[in-house]
Amino acid sequence: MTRRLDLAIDSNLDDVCLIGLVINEICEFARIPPVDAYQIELCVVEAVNNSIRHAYGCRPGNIVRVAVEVGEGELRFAVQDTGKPMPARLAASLADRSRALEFDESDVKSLPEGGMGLAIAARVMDQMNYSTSDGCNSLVLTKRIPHT
Amino acid sequence: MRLEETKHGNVVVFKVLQPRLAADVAGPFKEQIVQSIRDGNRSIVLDLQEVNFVDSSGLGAIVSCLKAIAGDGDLVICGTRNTVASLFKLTRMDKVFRMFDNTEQAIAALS
Repeated sequence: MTRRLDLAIDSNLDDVCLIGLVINEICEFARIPPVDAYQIELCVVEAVNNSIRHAYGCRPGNIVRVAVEVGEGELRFAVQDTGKPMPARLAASLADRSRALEFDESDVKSLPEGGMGLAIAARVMDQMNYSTSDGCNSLVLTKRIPHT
Repeated sequence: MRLEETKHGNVVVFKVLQPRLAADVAGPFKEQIVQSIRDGNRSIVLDLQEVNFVDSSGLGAIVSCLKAIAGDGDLVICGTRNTVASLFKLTRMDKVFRMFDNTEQAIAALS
């Protein structure tokens, strides 16, 4: 049986923690170990941050939704906004985003200060799909979990 | 942004007093520590024992602080929980920052 929960916040970075806290509780409900739960929460938070920053340009008064599905053997999070879509080239290369973390750790000047959110999600999540339909952008993050 | 600043000889310890170091507070956090570096502090410990969540913006702010001091001092981290430490491993920042279990060890390393 798949269980569903829909979350929504205003496009305000101050409110993203509310989404994160609920996602972490859902992971605990699904008996996911704390480190994995943290990383899943992190990926959803990063996706919501991206919607607020890039889709809405940090303008409050817009809605970011997170549709959660707790299914047999997987968790799915659809992070949705109605703002500016992700550039097509970026959307087509989500699986390759982890390359953003290939830096020379001995060269402090080369260390990334931003652009790590999707790279982290690419490393943690089993699947990432981005689509736009009828003005709604949706980034779906899927994580396989052991059957409980 | 709630940061506690204490001085131990030439070492300044910044203890983050809130549970989340994320996009909403990353800017003020960075400004406060970079200002301390501009004021001449060259040995900085970042104490994360009260922090249970860091996102990539929080991590980016920590990296910015390291860049501000690099070559003319050091910034080390202590007290990370397993969850937060996993972010440093995921992003390979565990290879960049010196990390200690507690403030005493971190201060000793910089003294």
